[in-house]
Amino acid sequence: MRSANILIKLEMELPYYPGCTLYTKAKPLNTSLHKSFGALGVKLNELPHWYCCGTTFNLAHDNRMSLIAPLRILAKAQNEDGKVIVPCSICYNTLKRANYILKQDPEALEIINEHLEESYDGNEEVIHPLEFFRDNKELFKDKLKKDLKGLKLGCYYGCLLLRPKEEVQFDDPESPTIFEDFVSLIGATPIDFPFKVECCGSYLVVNSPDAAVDASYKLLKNAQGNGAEAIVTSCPLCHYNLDALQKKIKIAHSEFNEIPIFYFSQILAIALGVEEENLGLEQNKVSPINLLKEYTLL
Amino acid sequence: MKKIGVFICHCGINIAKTVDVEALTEEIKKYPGIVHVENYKYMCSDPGQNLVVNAIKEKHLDAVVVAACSPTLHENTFRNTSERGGLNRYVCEMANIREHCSWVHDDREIGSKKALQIIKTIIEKVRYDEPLEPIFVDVTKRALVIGGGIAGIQAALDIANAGVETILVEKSPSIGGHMIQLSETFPTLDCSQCIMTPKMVEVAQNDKIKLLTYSEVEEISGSVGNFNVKVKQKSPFIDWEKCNGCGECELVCPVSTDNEFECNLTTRKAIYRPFPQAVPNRYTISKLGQAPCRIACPAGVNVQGYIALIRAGKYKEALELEREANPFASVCGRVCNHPCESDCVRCEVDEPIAIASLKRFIADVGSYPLEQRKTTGERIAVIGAGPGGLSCAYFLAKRNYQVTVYEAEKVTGGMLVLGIPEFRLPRDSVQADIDYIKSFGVEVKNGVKVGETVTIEDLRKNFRALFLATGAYEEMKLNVEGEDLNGVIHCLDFLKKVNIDEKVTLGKKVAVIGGGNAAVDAARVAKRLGSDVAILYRRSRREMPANAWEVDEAEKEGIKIEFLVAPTKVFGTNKVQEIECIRMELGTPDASGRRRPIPIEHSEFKIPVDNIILAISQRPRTDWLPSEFERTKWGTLVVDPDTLETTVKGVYGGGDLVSGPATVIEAVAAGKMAAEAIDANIRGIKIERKEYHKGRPAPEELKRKEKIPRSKMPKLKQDKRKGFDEVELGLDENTVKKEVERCLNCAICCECFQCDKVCEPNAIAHDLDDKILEFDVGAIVVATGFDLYSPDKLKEYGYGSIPDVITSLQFERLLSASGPTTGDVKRISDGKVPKRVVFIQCAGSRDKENHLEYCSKICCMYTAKHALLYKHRVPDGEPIIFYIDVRTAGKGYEEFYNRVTDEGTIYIRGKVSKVYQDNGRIIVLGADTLSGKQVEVEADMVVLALGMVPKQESEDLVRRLKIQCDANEFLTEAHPKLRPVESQTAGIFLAGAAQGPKDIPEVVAQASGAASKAIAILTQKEITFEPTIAGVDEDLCSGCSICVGVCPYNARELDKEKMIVKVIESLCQGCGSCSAACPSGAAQQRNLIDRQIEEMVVTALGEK
Amino acid sequence: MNNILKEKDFIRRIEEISNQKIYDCYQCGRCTAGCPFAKFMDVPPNQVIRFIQLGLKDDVLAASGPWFCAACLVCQTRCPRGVDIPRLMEAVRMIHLRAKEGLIDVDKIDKEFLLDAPPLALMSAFSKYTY
Repeated sequence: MRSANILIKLEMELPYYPGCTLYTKAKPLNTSLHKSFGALGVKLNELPHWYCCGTTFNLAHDNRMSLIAPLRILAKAQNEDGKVIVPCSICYNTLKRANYILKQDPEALEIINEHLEESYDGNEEVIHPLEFFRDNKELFKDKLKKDLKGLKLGCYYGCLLLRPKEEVQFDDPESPTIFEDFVSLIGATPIDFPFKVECCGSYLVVNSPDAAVDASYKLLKNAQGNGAEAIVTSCPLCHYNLDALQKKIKIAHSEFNEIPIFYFSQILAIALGVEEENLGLEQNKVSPINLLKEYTLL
Repeated sequence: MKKIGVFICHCGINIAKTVDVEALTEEIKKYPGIVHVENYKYMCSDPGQNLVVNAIKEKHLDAVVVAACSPTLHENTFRNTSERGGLNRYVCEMANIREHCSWVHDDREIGSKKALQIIKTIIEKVRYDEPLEPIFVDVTKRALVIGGGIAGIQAALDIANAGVETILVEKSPSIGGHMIQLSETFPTLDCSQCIMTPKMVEVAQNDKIKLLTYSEVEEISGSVGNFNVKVKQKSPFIDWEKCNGCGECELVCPVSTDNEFECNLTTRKAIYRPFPQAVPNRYTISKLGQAPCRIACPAGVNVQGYIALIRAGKYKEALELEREANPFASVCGRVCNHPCESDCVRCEVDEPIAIASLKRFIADVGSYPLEQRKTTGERIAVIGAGPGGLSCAYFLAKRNYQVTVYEAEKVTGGMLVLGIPEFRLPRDSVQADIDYIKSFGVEVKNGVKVGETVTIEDLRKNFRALFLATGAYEEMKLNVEGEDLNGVIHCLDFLKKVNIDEKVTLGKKVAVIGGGNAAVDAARVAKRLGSDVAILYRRSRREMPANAWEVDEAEKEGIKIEFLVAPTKVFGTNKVQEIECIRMELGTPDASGRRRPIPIEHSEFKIPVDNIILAISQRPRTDWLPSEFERTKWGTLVVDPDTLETTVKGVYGGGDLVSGPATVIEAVAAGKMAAEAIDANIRGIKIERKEYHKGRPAPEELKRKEKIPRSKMPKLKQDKRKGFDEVELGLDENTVKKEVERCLNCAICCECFQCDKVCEPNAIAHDLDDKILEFDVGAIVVATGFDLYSPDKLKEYGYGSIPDVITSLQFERLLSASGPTTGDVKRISDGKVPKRVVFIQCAGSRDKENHLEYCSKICCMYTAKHALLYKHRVPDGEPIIFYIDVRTAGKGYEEFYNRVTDEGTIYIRGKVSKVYQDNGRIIVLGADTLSGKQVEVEADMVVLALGMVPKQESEDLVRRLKIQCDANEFLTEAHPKLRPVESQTAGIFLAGAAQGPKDIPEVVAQASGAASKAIAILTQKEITFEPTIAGVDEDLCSGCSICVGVCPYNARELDKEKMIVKVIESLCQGCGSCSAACPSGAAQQRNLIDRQIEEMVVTALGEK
Repeated sequence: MNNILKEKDFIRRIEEISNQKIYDCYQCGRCTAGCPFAKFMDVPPNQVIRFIQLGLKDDVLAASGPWFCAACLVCQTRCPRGVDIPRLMEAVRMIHLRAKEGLIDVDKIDKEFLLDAPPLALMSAFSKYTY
């Protein structure tokens, strides 16, 4: 896997692309991430002007239009530091795929650049916070304020961090460990479960909610069967499906027990002692409050 | 000018449709030197050949060019034809106007033009061709077969049965290969072992076969008819001439390791025979060198060995093994700083084994009666009865020397009894070890001060050698004002007084200065005497030289430690009252690598104290020794690092006297080293120190290890720590039994020598080295076989994480009557009979994107067989096979497949996507493409039909043999259809799965084919080589030897007398490297000299 | 040979849009085996591909399979022949959408859901299902 190692400066600052959802439904991810990075001594500098990435990557080979949105973002970011932190799995996937394709296809890059106010050189590095943490473990030294010991967290990767493997190069697509390593790093117990790399139903929730309910049900049951008390994820869409759909799952499967869904940044913020009002826990549909109280984390 | 004839072939329309043969004929006629041109529809037919013969005779031709197909096909034909016409065969050449011309062009004009160029080019070559005679070389009538699986066995038997001596080399300790692991074989269901073992026995009994198992081919040189081979026979650490395979050793061996033959379904001992019918029926010891713990120990204690013996419940033997290298088992079990634990490989899994605590257990567990021995050899004197001196005495007495130890104090044990307090090291523990040492006949004379009571000179006269080990007792000073005040005491004085029960009174407040073990010991003693104690240390905790676990205990006992503090002045009238200190900060590292403490200005402060104990450091006293003993600038003794001999002959020195203050185990090591040196010197031999390879499990094996916490040493409760009772209480037997199970057996064989004790024929040879054997052979058969594709690469199928997902070969072992379950199909996880087994075909095969592109050919059939045999063993079981295609091409194979489906196996057409575990159930996620349905099957067991890959290690061998591999690393045959058993190198033949995936009947047929090819060479008296090899123009050669370096076949050497290079004709392959490299043009290839090449190039480029 | 391999333009169009070689697929069925939504499809992924290979345009365009593809890429990751199946599904969707045949009507989406769901769910669905 490509290293996202960044030289540690005392007051580190990193360019940051939040994406649309982090300003609306996934605010807790945005807030807790900012606070966590702050507690680690890193300042996230939001890109001065940014746009939507286009969401789910368009797979039509003859549709170059769809590359324009991610490319504009990359062009913005290159002015900063040559690298950009992207926490949303969908934005991450779209930016990385666009970047990969443009690197392979200089001709496409040139054509699209003609339509942009600023041209993109193709060398931007897109970094997920989990990659950043993996490569900068020393930042955590003496920073963990709360003991998460014993808290069993199912590490849910979903699709877009892992696939396609040659384009995102995040981790082994069949048995990744970066999430588990992160959970161990902050002192909780990672729970590995076979469905951690399976799909939650994604945008099918809009038109075929039954399919999304079925997929989410299966993977939540699988995580619970392996001992997870809560799930951590990095994707706002996965978060929505796994969290909000539990109401429907309960209707379809009466035996189902609810399970809280966290953004990885929320759990990190708890470990780093970020104050409760910045965790955004009240926005979770399935409340994690009781679980956190059980572990005296609140 | 040579009279040349040209014969142009139409090859039906193959050539004629693209090349205007008639026009070409007319054109060639005009070319200089051509006296005859003719074309014919099939020149290779009888009438065609006759045209050539007749023309040679009638036109008195000097040379012939046949313009037809490739010389690889018909060169031999036309050279024979030319000979029939009376020409030398080497003045007949072929111009390839088919493969190089008509087959690659459509345009007739271009084709005709190019054909003309090609023919003209070859005419230019033949114009300068010389008549040559073939080279004849005698053949070495001996064959080499590499690989002892079914292919190698069959080839070796066939060659030997033709009367030719055969060497069969096999890498593992027994022949048999994979076939001996199989249960029954398709499609006839013969028991594999039943048909295999007769062949193995036949190999063993055949006089013509020299069997070399546990051996590998190291080097090969030479060429067909005369290869030279070097074979490395790996040491089995057992003399196979003596071993009778009785198996007594296996029963006593305490070390278990993975059983390769059983595909790791069970374990085997470190001393093993792969399986009961092994040929040869001999034992082998798996040895990876020495375990890191043993290498880390200064005294070389065999840690892995005594842990293994503890595991076997042999506590007495364990203690004996410990004492082989260190007589202070009881002492070191308590106070050793155990560098072994720091190097323990278990650290990479969780925590190190509690080695020292285990040592203490075996020392404490039984008091074994001591046999009092007497020694009779030469007399040796040891000065100083500390751990170093006593160890030296012990190792000498064991070698039958009469040893007298002179000790100045009344007590024996040195620092062990004077320095270390009893709550760490009770006196009876020390005494136990001293009694043991004395039982070897060592005499200790207490109260004798050498230098006063008796002189060194006296001793030198009366003893053959002396060992000085008087330790380091002189205390270093603090060098601050007020240090000589009453109440300031020295650490060793203090400890010594307490230890020999002299009355010591301390005040209420005590400060201990220093950070070593002595400082901590003194502090803990002072605490026990009722004082409030603080340790003042000038650096930080990290730099503290004392054992971290002792520091922890001291803090628990209520001792305060002030770090980064240094005393600057002691105040008091008559008696100490206050100590002034200054705060320090750490600067850059000093010579010891520790960061240097630097005083912080104006940070002085005072502490009220009643006593100060100085524990800075100690150094040895040497003022009692004559000046001829050289000292270092630190006041220690100078010795030879290899022998510990001082600058005075016959006098050796060791321990703290030489090293300065050090650990017990280092003193033991010095004593042992000196004893060895003294003995070697007296016997006039040289000491050989062997470097041992550090044995350790592979990293991926470590990853699979379960984390088990290290056993904790039980300790005396805090409220009971008033007196001098021992703080550490020792592990109980149950804890010890659990702790030893954590040992990883890094070196596999632990050299505990239990096997040696029971081996009746005395065959065990732990020091046996590898042997290199050298042979000349005429032909070689390579049959190195296959491995299964690694299931670790198929993560989506859960191998490794789901215990009941197994490989096809593991399933064979479960089915086998000789396997770990004697043929019952049982789950690995719980031993239950699986009621539904899912077989996944093409696990790794036919997957160009992620795994192997090719079809592994045998999996369809063996999976069908697995399903059938499973159904036979478990009649109510449900075998389900996921497949993409069922390939049953072979005699009786389709019929077998029919039988399998008839008897109740369900075939589902679809490749499985994933196997996972949900609530303990194994779920196989597949599809049935025929019904268009996704299927989820719950299974009790999943068998992966893994593909075949060439044996991994054979890659190196292939390079040494100079044969070729394909993209998948399978050996390449000389021609895929017509020469399937020959490699591209003459005299080297291929057999078995090393050449490509194949089943047993095919392997056997190929092996017999390879054998007959080898026999064809080996039964000739001599073989012929083409004479078109390199030569040397002696007039031009300057002897520069550049060509010698570039020759890949070692066919050239410098004649040092004539200072010219000569060619070894039997080795030269005519590759031309020498001609290209030769700066003077002396190296020329026959019938392809520089002039020919130049003319041909010019002609080919159309410039002529 | 009456009904198959007639719609060669259709096969070529799918290959163009997806940039995949349709005959690379050897119909092992692994895409269907691992697809989380195969059970909701009337025609599973491997059969959609088979229909394309045979040029059965009408059958392909009538199939619900492509609409259920969530582009989770499990099939793409495991395909032994390196076929990017989600790109084929996208190509089928594109042929629909470029002919102005969408799957969903934005106006008919449940209002409560619209307020609740994260924007990227809606954006993604619109990009896959509307023209």
